[in-house]
Amino acid sequence: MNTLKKVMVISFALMVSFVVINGDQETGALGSKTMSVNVQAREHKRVPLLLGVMGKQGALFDVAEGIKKDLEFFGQFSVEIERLLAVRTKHEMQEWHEQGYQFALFMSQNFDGAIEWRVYDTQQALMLKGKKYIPQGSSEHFWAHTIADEVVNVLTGMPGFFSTKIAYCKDVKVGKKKYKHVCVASFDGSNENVLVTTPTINIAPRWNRDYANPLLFYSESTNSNIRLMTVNMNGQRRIASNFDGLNMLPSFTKDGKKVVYCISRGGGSCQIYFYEKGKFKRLTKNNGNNVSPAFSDEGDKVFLCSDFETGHPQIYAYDVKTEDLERITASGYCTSPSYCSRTGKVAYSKMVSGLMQLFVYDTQSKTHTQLTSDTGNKDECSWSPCGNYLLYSVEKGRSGRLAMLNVNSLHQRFITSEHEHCSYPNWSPAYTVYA
Amino acid sequence: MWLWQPKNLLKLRLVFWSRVLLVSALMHTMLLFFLLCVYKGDNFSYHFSVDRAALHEANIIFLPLQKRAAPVVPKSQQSAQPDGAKQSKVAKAIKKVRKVVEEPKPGTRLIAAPKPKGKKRLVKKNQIKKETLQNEKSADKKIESKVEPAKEVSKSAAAEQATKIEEQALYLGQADLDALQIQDAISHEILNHWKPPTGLANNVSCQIKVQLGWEGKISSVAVQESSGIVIFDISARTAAGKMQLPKWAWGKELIITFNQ
Repeated sequence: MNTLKKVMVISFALMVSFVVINGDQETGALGSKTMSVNVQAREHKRVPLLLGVMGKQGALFDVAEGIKKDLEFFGQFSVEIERLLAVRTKHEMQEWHEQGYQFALFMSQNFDGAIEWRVYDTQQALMLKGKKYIPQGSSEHFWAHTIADEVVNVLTGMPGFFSTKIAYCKDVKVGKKKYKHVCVASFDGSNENVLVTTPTINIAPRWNRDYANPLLFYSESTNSNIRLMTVNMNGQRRIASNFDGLNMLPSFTKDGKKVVYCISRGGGSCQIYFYEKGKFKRLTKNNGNNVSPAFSDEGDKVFLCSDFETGHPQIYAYDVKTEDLERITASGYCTSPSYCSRTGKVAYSKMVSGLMQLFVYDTQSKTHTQLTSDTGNKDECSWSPCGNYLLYSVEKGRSGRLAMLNVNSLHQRFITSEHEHCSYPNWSPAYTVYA
Repeated sequence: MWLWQPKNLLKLRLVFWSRVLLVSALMHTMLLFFLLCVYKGDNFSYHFSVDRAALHEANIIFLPLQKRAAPVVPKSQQSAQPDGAKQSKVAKAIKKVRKVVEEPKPGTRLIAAPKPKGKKRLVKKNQIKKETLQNEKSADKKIESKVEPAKEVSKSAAAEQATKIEEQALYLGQADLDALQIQDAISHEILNHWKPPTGLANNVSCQIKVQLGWEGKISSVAVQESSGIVIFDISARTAAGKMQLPKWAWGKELIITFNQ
């Protein structure tokens, strides 16, 4: 009986040890029921989107073509247009998903002329958003831009910029004289409209922030000074500021009520002035030149360019409440800051090896990143309303072109011809109306 | 013949069967132990292949007898620890190597590296001696002494490098290896199917929860933590739905974080 007891004890001990060991194993990575894995993307590609047009109306196809052009310009979608006769079933939606289309956008036009669009997630055959849009005006391009803005907002969470415009200066030669005219065009440089054609030099156009009344501020060279002018989308002009010397580069807060701009007032140096409800206030009080102010949306900070400390232009951040002037760039030749309140980033140009290149300063992490390194002087950058694109001028020899850069993918594309000389680009905010 | 008496026969049988039972139990236990603890079935084999890119190119030290390696404490923090604190065998071995590098060989004489000012003086002296040509031998000796500190500098640099290697080394136990292999297998499988949209910010990420059935089929895929960007979430969800994982993942729940 003793032997039996021994056998029982030994086998029990072995079993217990096995359970303990195996139980401990269960806590390992393989044994646990839930696993967490981190994956970093190596390749990227455009998202395939099916644009189904229901009906036979020609105008609807023109709108669809416009949407396709906009979405493909955005760089994140590859769009295929397909003519459909009726609303598709869930089964057919699954078939599209198997063909590789992750999203489907259906468009139809009602008898009253209203355009109806719906965006679907094809895998789940789930409608993400749909809207009925009553077209205003006769421009099919504008309808397409409006719908594309909405679709991009649904799919990426970012506001689209297809309805926005860009303003810039264009060199024109009349006889032996050279002038600079102010032009307005669509975001991609198409549909150009020359707004100011006075026989003088008109430079540095800037948009206002009155979303229902788009106005363009620009500086006009006269015999006595360089005055600040406004022009509406119909070409009607008015004088905005007419002090001696320079009157240039206004920048507005989001509500459009506060403005900063630079004036020399006949003195030897340019200073930044603040204007609100008829009250003027001088912000910078130094002996240097202070130019290119960029107001934050909330109106608490002004980013500007000044040479008062080093003799070379540097980028500074001016705190409106405390009146502190903090230098952002440590050295070099840095100009034309542009602030994006959406991302909290300041874009500016800095000279690197004799060429002006684009840099971005993150106000949160306080780090500088170089965006471009190719040939050509890049200057006068301006943010898109979504904060993902920069518009700027590139000068190579005698040619001056406007280019657009995606700050995430660093993909650059030119939007004006190399035979023209364009400069001082400025991207408009998302206005609610355009003339 | 006593054992074969009818009254003792019962006891004999009992002993016999108990011995059979003992042997059988032992064999079963050994077999079970081998199958479940050592062999672990043919579903998962231990092959030591780890993606170095995922480990930030750190030096890897395998500790196969430990399930989980203790986190590495930098040398600066180690000094603050009590003397009795336990150190791994690998760390001790590395320390020994470092000591060998740091300690001079018996019989060798260390000469301190001269200061920059001293160097200048030496050069000046050498120049004077060369000009006068009186003590050529002494000048040669000083030139030799200049060379020797360079060797010492290289030794100290090697010691510093060894310290850096120790501090940057990654200690992996068995469970850590399991986790790495899982990470590698799943990420490899996902990256075959997943190509997120271009032009999004680099800090975009989302979490997808995948439930695998006992037959290896994906029973559910859901976005657990959205990135706020629909095209990114749906591309990640679509890729997760296309995964085909080996048997060790069946019946488990995966939480996959997709980073742009």
